[in-house]
Amino acid sequence: MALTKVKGSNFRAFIGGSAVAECTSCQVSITGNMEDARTKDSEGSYAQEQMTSRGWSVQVDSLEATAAALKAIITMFNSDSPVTVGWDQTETTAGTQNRTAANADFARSGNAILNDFSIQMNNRQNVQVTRQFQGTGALS
Amino acid sequence: MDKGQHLRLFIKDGANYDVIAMATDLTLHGSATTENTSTKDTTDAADGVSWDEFEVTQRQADIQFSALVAAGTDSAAKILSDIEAGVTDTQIDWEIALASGANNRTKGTVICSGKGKIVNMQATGQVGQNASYSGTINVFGPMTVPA
Repeated sequence: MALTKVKGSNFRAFIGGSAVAECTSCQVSITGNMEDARTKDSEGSYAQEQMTSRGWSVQVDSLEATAAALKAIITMFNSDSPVTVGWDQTETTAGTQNRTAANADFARSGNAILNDFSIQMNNRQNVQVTRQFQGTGALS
Repeated sequence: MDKGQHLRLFIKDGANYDVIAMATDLTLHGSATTENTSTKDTTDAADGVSWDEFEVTQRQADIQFSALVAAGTDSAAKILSDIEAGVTDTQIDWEIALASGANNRTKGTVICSGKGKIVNMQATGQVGQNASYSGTINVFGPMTVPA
C-alpha cells in the first residue's frame, strides 16, 4: 500500500482550538523521565531504566504583526491559567489557508503554560514570534 | 502587516516617552520558571505512568535593543550616549508601541509597558562602519498590556 506523506504545512499547532496563524514552524515533543532501577541484584553493567513520568511541550514560530496579536501573547504569558494547546493534520483546500483540522487520529491536545516567548522586531523584517508551551497534565 | 520598524522601544525621559533613535533591532523575551506539581494524588495513565503537571512560580523578561549611535542629544540618546551612566540600578519606564509618521517615531498603540533596569550596554566602532550600540533591559516587575 502506498503511503501518503504529511507535508509540514499541514502539520499545525493549535492554540485555543484554532490553528496558529502565519505559522512558519512548529515542533511537538513528548519526553519520558527515566530512572535507573538497577540494584545490586542486577546483573551486568547496563542501565535498567523505568519511566517515572512524562511531559510534553509545543514550540511554535510564527509571523505576527498586529497589535492585538502581540498583546494577546503577552497577556497569555502574564496569566496563571493554562490554555488548550495541541496539534493536528490540516487539509489543503483552497481558501482555508491550511488551517482546517482534518485528522482526528493525528490530533492531540491538552492544557499548557506559555513558559517562554520571544518577539523579534528587527528593522525591515517581519515580526517573528517564538512561543514555547509546556504541557501540564495529560494529552488527549 | 506591520514590519519590525513599526514597532519601537520608547524610554521615559522626564515627562515624555522618547523613541530610541536610529534603532535597528528589538527583541522582547519572556521566560517563566515552572514547578512540577505532580503529587501522589495525581492519577496515573493507563500504563501506570503519570503526566507531569506544572505551575508558574516566577516570570522574568528582558528587552534587547540595538541602534546606530546618534550624534547630538537626540531623545533617548541622552541616556544611551553615556554607557556608564546608562547601566545603573535606577529604574526606567519603557514602552513598546506601534510607530508611524516621519522616521517612524510617532507613537501609536502601546503593545506593552513596564519598568526595568539597563543591565548591559556595549558600543562598537569598526573601521568604515557606523558606530553602533546594543543593550539589555531586565524588566522589573510586571509587564502591563493596555486594554
